[in-house]
Amino acid sequence: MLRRENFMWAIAIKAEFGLEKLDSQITWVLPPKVASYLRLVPAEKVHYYLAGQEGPDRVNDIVSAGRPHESNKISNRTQDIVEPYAVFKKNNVFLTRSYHVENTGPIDLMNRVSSVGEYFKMVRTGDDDCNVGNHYMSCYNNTRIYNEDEDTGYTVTLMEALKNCMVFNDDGTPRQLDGMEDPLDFKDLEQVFWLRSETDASGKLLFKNIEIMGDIDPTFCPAENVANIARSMINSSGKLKDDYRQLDNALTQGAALVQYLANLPITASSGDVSDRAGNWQEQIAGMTSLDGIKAIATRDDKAEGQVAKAFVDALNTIVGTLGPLLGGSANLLLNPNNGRANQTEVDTLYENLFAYGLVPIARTGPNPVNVSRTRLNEALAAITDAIAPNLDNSSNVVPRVATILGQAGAAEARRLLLGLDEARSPDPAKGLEAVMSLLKFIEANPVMVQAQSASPTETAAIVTWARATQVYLTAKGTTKEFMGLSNLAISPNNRQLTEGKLPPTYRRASPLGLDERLQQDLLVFGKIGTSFWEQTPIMQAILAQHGQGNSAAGGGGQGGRGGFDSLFADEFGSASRSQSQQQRVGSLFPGGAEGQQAVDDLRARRSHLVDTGALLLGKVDPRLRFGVLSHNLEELNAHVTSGLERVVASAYFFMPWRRQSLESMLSRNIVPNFGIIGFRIGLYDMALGIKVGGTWGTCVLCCCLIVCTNHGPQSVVQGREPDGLHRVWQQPLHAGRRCHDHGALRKLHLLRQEHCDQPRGRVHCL
Amino acid sequence: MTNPEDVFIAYDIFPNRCLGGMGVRPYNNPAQYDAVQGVAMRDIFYIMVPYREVSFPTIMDMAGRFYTYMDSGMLDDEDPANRELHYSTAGWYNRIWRWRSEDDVTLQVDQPLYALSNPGQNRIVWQGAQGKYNHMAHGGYNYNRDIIRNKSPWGPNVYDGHKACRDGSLERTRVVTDGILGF
Repeated sequence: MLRRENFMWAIAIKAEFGLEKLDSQITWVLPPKVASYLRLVPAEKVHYYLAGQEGPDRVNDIVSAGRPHESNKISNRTQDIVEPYAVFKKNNVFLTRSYHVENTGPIDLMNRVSSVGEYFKMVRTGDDDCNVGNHYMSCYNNTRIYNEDEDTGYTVTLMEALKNCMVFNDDGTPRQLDGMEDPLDFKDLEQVFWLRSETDASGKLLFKNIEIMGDIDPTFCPAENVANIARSMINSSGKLKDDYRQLDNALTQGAALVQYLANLPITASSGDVSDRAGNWQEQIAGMTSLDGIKAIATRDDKAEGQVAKAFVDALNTIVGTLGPLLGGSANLLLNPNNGRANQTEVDTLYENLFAYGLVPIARTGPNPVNVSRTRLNEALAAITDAIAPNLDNSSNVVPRVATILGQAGAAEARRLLLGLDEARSPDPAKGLEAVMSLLKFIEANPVMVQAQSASPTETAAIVTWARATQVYLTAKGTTKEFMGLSNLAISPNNRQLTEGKLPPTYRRASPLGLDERLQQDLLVFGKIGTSFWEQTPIMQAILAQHGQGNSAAGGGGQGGRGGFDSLFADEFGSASRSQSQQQRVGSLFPGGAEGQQAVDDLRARRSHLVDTGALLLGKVDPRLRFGVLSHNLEELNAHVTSGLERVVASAYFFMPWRRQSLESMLSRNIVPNFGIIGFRIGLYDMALGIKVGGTWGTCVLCCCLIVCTNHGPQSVVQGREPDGLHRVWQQPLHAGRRCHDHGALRKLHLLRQEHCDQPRGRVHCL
Repeated sequence: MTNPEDVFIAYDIFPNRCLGGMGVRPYNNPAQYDAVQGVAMRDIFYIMVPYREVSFPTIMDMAGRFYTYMDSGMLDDEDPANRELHYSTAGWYNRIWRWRSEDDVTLQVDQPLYALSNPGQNRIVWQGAQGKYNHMAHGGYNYNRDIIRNKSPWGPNVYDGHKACRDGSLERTRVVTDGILGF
């Protein structure tokens, strides 16, 4: 079609009465300026017989009429006759000129402006999606595009794309855009998958970032994909199973597996409200962290739990197949009413999930299930057995801890360690007191943080101390990796940490940076040490035992908090503290105003934590939590349910899942939930080549021009072409890209067969 | 030149110059791009799309729809093809990059606006040539197997990497010596 148009256009502009000739063939629609241009050239300039004396003068290159011709200024000629700029194989080569049209700038027929934009996909298709399990790597998403600035290939990595996709801030937190409440954009924003809609008190529609995966509309995250993601996560995390087995050799393989599964990001399931396990879901939107938050939960206004349901169904299927490891056919979604449920197995599973999964799971109903005492005793035995060997070295650890604390903390540290030792005593009272001592030391953990950044030597001492006390041992294996860090010089400017050159194990240990991670852990410690623990009957029993509790019979609510605070008042500078209590505080903090400031800071921090509600994030050593297992579940459920909103908010506050997933999914090769497109736009000022009478009108180099010569490309390659073109073909720009050259040659051959070998008159077309 | 039929035009022999978008530098700050003012300092926009979106139109508009918003009356609102976005997160990225905005009438264009001095107004993108990661090749990129071949708007005569074509204008016809045209 374009070929014909070119032909017609040539007739119109070059032949006399061209428009009239074409009028019988086609209807022309021309802009007015083009029509004016067509009539600009007077007939005497075209026809020799009308030119008069100017005609022979033009031929003979003689100045006449006393006026130079505009077009020949460059060559100082005075006529419009033009000699060829160059000669190419008996053919003349001419240069083109631009011309002016009224009210426009110079127009060069040899040029046109072209906008060029490209997009590239970084998405996975086919079997590479999620089913590859352990084989999946983030680099599968990489793509290789052509970098025209350097004339070479360029690999776009997934991380580079994610960091520049304008969804995350520089620090990894989700980006918030202004004006999201604009209802005009509803039609589009509704389809943005990481936004969810809310209605405020006035009924106005608001759009906010999704905070948990359950907010993702199932339209964008269908069930099959969720199931694949679940399977992929399990496969990808499989390597951690060994870690957990090493953590707790006393547990069976099945229990270890539950322990591992419990850390999977599953906090909600689906099912009928009457389901026992179904109560885990809609009421509970907690989360766990396994080197990254991936919370599956539901929100009332979105998705109706379909995402979570699909995830849990997938996980449930997998767990079901592993039933023998769990001691039976445990089924997360088992309904006890239909007779398929095994009460003991479900209890065991629940117990393990609660102990190691660390989601604020609570069950409601007329018959709250009490966890088995046997399991509790086993856990206690495991704790003592694990701690005892390390305590044998306590004589060396205590002085180091005292050094770390900076003051006369030796007595306090020894008391703590001895308290742990006393936990082995058959006397329950001493055991409880030991636990209380640990809790109080957890409250004082900011001291540990301060020492953490002091020097590598002290860090090593802390690690040694942590190894002895197991305080920092968590269900996630943090202690193991934390101990590994003792070999490193930990500082904010540590190059290994900042540049991410640590081994994968250490990267997992501190995806956010060591200091942040520690602070987060300690915040969680603090939360557990206050609001949560004070609600438990065992804690209330402790309070009563110390004679300072006032909420032993009050159940939940704020009563327990007062008793808890009063218990800790002696540690944190209460006005009513005794002289001996002040000395104990002084053993933990520097004296004088500085010490008082530290105490005040700690009190302020703890007060803040108390107000944020109870939260279990799986950061605490389950061995320190065995006491919780004897709590009143109904009471705990009421407490957790009432704090549900805060739980979700707090969890998100501490660990934005997208930030975690951005880092950890890539480092751990877990399938990310996104695809990437790359857009590249450009604008080209295109040149046109005009072939006049078999002669090239412009100097051109590329292969597409060679197609159009009268010589086939094969002759070019074989060297029968003039040296100029031959050299062009041999230029590195062409020869260096073999695959391209190969394709180009074949295409040249085909094109020549199609076009050049079939001459249509004297017209040769591309 | 006596017979006008001897004249024909061969398009897109080489680009005289390029105004941007050739490299791989990513846009990561809204200050780097302004379609109205013609600010286009980088090369690549990275777009995040939902997981399930794996196929896109061969030619699409970065703003999500072809230069015509459904409310402008240019396209049939009832036609599902006109209602469907080319990619679902267009609203988010329109917010950031202002390819199209309800707030700014200058961005409510119904037809492509581009000028030689303003490459940023170009919103139409073709699927480009790219090599996919081939995990079966142990990390290699197998262009023969995993490449997505597409010549974008360049037509069939330009191969994937067309720098040689693009730089054609940098070459000047040198003086003819010994009757042989040199480049």
